[in-house]
Amino acid sequence: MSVLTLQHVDQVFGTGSARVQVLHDVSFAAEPGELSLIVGPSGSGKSTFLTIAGGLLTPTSGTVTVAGQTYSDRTQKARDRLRLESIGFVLQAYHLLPYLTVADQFKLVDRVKRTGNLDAAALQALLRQLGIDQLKHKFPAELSGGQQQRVAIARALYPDPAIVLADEPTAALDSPRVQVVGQLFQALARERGKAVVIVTHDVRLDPFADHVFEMQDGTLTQRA
Amino acid sequence: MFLALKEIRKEKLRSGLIIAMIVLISYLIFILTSLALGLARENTDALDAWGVDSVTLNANANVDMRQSLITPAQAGPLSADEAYIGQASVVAKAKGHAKLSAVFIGLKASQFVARDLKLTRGHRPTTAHELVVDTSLADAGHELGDTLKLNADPKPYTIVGFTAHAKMNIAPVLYGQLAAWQTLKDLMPGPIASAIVSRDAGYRAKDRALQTYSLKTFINKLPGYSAQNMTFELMIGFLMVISLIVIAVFLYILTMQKLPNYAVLRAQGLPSRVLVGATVSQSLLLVAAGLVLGTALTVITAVAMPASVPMAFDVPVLALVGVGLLAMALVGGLIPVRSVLRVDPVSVIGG
Repeated sequence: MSVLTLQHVDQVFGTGSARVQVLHDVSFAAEPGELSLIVGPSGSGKSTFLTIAGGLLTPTSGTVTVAGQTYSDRTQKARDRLRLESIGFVLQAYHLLPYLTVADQFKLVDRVKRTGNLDAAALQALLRQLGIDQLKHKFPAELSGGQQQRVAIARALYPDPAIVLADEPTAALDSPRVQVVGQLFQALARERGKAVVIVTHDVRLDPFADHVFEMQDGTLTQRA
Repeated sequence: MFLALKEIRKEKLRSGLIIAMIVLISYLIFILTSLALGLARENTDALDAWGVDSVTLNANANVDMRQSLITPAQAGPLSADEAYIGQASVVAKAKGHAKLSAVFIGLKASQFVARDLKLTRGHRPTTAHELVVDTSLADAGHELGDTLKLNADPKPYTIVGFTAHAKMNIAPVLYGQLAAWQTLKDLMPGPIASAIVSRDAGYRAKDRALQTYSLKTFINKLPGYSAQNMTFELMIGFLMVISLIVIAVFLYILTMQKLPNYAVLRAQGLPSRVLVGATVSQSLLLVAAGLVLGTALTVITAVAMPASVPMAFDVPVLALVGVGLLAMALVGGLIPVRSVLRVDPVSVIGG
């Protein structure tokens, strides 16, 4: 069963002569255990797709369903809750809170979502898998860019979401590091059963994907 | 609170600088408040000690006891709740001591003000040339049996008792008899007192030449009293506003720097209330820490300050000032909240 679906989604910004249709009749489904890539050039509508898929923007028309619940029917508070419980965002800019240690980044989640988060053993296993289990007491400023990215991934996965949405996770990485990140997201899908959706213009991630979708001028098509 | 505590602990220098500023502001406000209170009390200590509700003066005296004279005919018969007060400004001279400006208060021994006078040492005046004086004279080295020369009166006055908190118009009070007041004022037979004080709130002088004022009205008309209090209130008010601006500006800058981080947290579903709570509690924690240190400095000052400095460290009043500063912190903390609430998580999508 799909954990994230977009059905006939249109997104229009502006009115009159300033009217721009960014998404045209986009339909998409993400399945647990699968990694989907959304690729396309800059300005093709990838980020708007991600924003709508993540429940941060209500589409002009169409339906978005997350874990069986329709976003547009919900209040802002309920959307926040649904995002917190069901979606893990991995963003291009990590923006880890600079005054929280790696361990405290997870404690912050505990304060707003008290149940359903990874237990201590599962978190330790995740951190080990990401190669950052020795960094729990470090502050973000003491970490390299790659380590910060992995902490951001762990933070996104800590509430044990069904869906992981990643925005250009390899934008600033060299090829060996792209391989590591690609393998990591692939493992999240295959070993942890997450529905992973990566928005990127980086074709180096293609080998890790179960499905590749191309976004071109706001239209989404699945590559054969 | 969690985020606020973590940030304060991590950013020690930045938090320390804000706390240092709050310490200085709160210390200054506490000291000014104590000084204002001390000076106000030294204007009215004696009046407070008498426990009166009203003061009756000559209607032409412009609510100034020093300018007022009342004759027996104007006063009429007094009940047990009324008492004569004869006020005269005097310069007290004694061997080995500097000249002292003081307020002489003449009392009638049989009336309640004289009877209720609480002495720390000695006895009440029994002759016209005996005085009960404020304990500040004892602090200055005067002893029972010492003599003072008052104004041009050639006959010395003997200190026969001490009483605490006897201050009026920020000068020590020398209590004596009404007969001595008449001598010091160089009055011809006629006036019997400067004022009639009453502990009966309903007392009103019957003679049209007299006017009865509530104690509050009389105190507010004491020379310089209202102007002095307003000056201090204005300074304290300005400092409160300055503290509000300092807190608001610092928190605004700190919050602006954190907005991208907050946008990510909002994208991940952290509710705005957590971020708002962090901002407001950070403000309250910083000010509370500043207040604790400011209070400690004030306590040290209170212990070290010589008794001659007119400062009154009144805990309830200072606590009220502290609450006022916390309220300012709350308001200051709420100013950046608008920016926190307007954080757009979409801004962090798409690089």
